[in-house]
Amino acid sequence: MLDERALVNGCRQKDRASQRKLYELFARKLFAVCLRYTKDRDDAEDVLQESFVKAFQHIDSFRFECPLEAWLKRIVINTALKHIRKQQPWQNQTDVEEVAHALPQSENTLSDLNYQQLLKMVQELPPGCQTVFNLYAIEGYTHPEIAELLDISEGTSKSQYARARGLLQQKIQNERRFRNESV
Amino acid sequence: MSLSEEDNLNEEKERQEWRNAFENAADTPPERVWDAIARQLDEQETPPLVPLWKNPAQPRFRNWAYGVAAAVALLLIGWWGMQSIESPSGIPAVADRVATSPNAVANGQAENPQSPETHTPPTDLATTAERSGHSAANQVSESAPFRNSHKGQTDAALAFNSSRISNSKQVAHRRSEAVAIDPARVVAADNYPYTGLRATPAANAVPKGSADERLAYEADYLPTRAIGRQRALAINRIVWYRTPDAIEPQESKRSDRHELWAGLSATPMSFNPVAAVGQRNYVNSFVNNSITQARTSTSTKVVQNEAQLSMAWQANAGLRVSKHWLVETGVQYLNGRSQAKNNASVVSLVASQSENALVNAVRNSSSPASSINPAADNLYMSSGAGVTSSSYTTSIQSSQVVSNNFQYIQVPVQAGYKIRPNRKVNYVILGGVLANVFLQNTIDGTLEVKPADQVYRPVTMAGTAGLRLNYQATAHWSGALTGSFQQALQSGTHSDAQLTTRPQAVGVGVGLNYHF
Repeated sequence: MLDERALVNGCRQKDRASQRKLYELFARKLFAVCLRYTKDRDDAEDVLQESFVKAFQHIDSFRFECPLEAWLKRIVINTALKHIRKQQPWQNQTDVEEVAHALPQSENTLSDLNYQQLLKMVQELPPGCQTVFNLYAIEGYTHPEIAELLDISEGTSKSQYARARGLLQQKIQNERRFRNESV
Repeated sequence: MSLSEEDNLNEEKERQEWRNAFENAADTPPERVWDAIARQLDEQETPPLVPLWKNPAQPRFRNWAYGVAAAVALLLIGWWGMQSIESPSGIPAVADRVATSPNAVANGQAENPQSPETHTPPTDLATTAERSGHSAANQVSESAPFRNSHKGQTDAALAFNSSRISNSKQVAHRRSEAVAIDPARVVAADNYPYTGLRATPAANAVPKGSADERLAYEADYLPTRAIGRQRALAINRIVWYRTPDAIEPQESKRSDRHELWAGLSATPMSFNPVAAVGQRNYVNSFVNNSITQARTSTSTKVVQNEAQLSMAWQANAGLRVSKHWLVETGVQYLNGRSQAKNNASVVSLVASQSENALVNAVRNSSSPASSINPAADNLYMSSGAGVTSSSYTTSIQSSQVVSNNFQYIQVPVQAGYKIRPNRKVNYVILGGVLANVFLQNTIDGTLEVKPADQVYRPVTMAGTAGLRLNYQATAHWSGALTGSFQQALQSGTHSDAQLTTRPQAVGVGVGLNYHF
């Protein structure tokens, strides 16, 4: 905590070394977040760069009321959402009832899949599904919060999540089938 | 456990697995990301450099001096531009006088729009007063805080403007003439779709019948200082008006005035009296002369006239009765010089003396009491006296040149049609009549024929036409280049005279006019 405070103070003084240290401290985790919300590494790099620039510009507003990592993560998510919003992924949305019955009854676990495989599955989701899935399943936002964040209806958020969930389960099954066949 | 509860548990378990899978996920970004971040931070933290001054060692105040000089230059250019836009011609009056109304409102008239000072005079001031009343209403309803807070500040301006109020009669008169905005446009402005932008309610408050006044009132608010002060606080009213079109109707309105002008002009002319010796009398006088009979019978024009350089000086005045039409009159002194070439002379058989046929005709045409009458010395017999001159005179072939120097006072009355009115350069087609008041004709520099000699008519009428090129140099002064043609409509001599004249004149003159 003391190191964070020193880093933050150094960043407030626009000390480039402090900024670099702060970047090195959190860049890897935040880059993983960026990768989850984007489709490829290039987009993720853009989001990460923009996020850190914002963080350094507004470092004065950080009051140590929350962990620095959480503060930075919020910036990254907001930046990613802004990045995604430009692509308008909220079109051709499917109502939740349409896909609810299509969801496979899965008892799958993710223990046999590594991070890269899971990340690839998430990145392959349609944009709207990907965002809602990240916000709901991983970040822990509720559907009303997601609806407000993305300026969509709560039903749309639910349907997007249901669709994402079904698509991911299909991908997991396909992955396992491919693995079994290859073995 | 119900099916839905089981689904919820499965879903929650699934979410937790995903959360765990990505909770501690980390991926190393490439180094270029930090490079980009550092570069972007550098750009944002470094103040922008304007390479206007290459030597950083120069004192800082010098940069400020350059900046201030540039700002002043921009302000001057802007001020000049505003002046040239707002007052192209005649409009300054609008811009100047308009300041009186809003200031008058702030000066206390606002509290009493029905003030007798503003409403009692039933003259043009009534328009101004009525307008001030509307201004007051607007100012009270919309700008009261502003007015109160600036009341003290505007005292000096009011003192200045109060002197202008004395000219408000002229101001009010010009205002209705000089400012004209399409009424339909103003009405449309009331319905302007933008929210937050609205036309002035005063436009609705003004009676429908006085559209010009209402529009002039609208225009009052455009260049006033009061508006300038209001902008410093907040925009509390927006007046829609036609900026570019307002100028053109202003001029057309201005042109509708009965503009009056007076001028002086000098016109070099070619004057030809078209004099001819009366064929009846003269031919009869030598009809029995066998020598000249053949020549005379073949000569249909005994006198050949040659125009010479003449001058006309005119003082004229004109009145513009409509946008295109004008009437003008004046007094012109014409000194018309010409030469009459005779191909015959009259010889007195008694005295054995010859005389130019034209001169002889003039003498014979004059009254017996005239000093130029030949009866006085009995050299020539006047056919006009009832004695047949053929018994005593004859004509011989002779070539003589006689100069004539006519002097007229001319009073033209002309109507004109102006092309390209209200332009700096415009044209006028002129046509009319003029009265030629004969003063005298000096023949060969020695024989002066005056109206009393009853040879020439004292007053004859002539038609005139012309084309004038005007250059309106200033609002009051203009120059004119006028080409004119005059043609006598009747003979210039009495009916019993032995000669006839039908003067023609053509010339191009320059003039200087003053427009009131």
